[in-house]
Amino acid sequence: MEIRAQEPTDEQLVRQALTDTDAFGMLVERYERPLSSYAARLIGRQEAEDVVQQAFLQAYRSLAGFDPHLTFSAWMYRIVHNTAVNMARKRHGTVPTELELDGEMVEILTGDTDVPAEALHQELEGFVAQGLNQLDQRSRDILLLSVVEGKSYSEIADILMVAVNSVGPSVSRAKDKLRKLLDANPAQRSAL
Amino acid sequence: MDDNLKQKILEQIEEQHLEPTPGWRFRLVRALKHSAVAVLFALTALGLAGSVYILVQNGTLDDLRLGPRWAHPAFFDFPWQLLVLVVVLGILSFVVLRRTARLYRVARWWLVAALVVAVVAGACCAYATNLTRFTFRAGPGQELFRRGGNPFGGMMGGAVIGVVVSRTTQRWVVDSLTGERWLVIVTEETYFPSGSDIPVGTVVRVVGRHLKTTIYAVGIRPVTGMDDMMGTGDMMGPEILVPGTP
Repeated sequence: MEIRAQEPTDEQLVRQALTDTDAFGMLVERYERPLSSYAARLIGRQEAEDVVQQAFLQAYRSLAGFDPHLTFSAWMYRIVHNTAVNMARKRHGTVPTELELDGEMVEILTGDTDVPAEALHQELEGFVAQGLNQLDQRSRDILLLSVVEGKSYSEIADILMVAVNSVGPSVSRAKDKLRKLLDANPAQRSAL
Repeated sequence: MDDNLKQKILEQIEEQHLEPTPGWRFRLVRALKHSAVAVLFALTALGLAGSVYILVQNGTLDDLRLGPRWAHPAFFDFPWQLLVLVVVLGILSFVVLRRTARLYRVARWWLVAALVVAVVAGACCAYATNLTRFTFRAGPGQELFRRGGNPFGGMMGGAVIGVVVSRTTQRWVVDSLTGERWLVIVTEETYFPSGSDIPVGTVVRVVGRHLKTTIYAVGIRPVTGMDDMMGTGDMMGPEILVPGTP
């Protein structure tokens, strides 16, 4: 996200938002798109708006408790993540993943540098998304944040409330799990 | 996705008269959580060190019973209560810690390290105690004991010579030759000369740990003569020392 030099920082806006809802509006404007995309990946497009709306209202009520050691972005991702997971548990029991993966993401997730032709790539993309849905919640969260959202290990640690040095190994383990799932799928093997 | 999400959110804030929760509430909750973690964790570490101490010292889980006060409810009345309590406290402290987000991330490995230190400290204390006891009874300490001293400073505060005024199995009253009255606590581990019987009225030498006018007796023997009474003789003769009530 690009912020022009004269624009206030997130932290300044958080302080202003305690007394001024317009400042909070600016924060909403800055983050509604990335957060909506993230929520859609977590819970599906139908409910993503509800999740983001609830998350922003929750954030507004908790502004005074914002931890200055975190970035506002990581804080909001955490709130959206928790809201989405809670809502998904209430409504479905599981969290479906809606993904639009590009070639690079598929390459990272499958560990295969020989990216197939366009038609096969779309098929593979479907298998990867399916594989992600079969993963456990934590592995899927880690992969979504690191590969799909492109978050740094430090941000992932802030969002998922884990130690920074545990993120790297978790990402590797989650990728291994996904590759094993893909290898176990005969249709995917033939696509490759 | 609705393009007017911002508008919707601001309207809801206005309609529902939402206000940011005051900062002091967050600070209070944080302080309470951190204090709870600290207290729970201190208790866990203390209990763990104690459990390890007892286990190393006595070699059995049976000695971890907490006593009659902890015998209710009945299902909690089993020998290794302390260990269960430590585990429960440990789990509780981590559960509370888990709710503190940042502290959890920063401090959890330090807390694990502290638990390991507690285990090692407990074991070391037990080992040191055993070492002292071994030295006192079987090693160079036995010689010291015979002379009427103790391994912590010779005769200094270790020995009393006096007349047995009264005695029960565990408590003797001894009037020292310098006019003080001593309560002598006798345990199964107190040493007596082999085959000795010490009736009321006997002049005895008592060696042990002093606490005001109480002595936790490590060894008691009759005084055999004037030289002995003057403190020049050994605490015990060459005969075999046996622990237990004479």
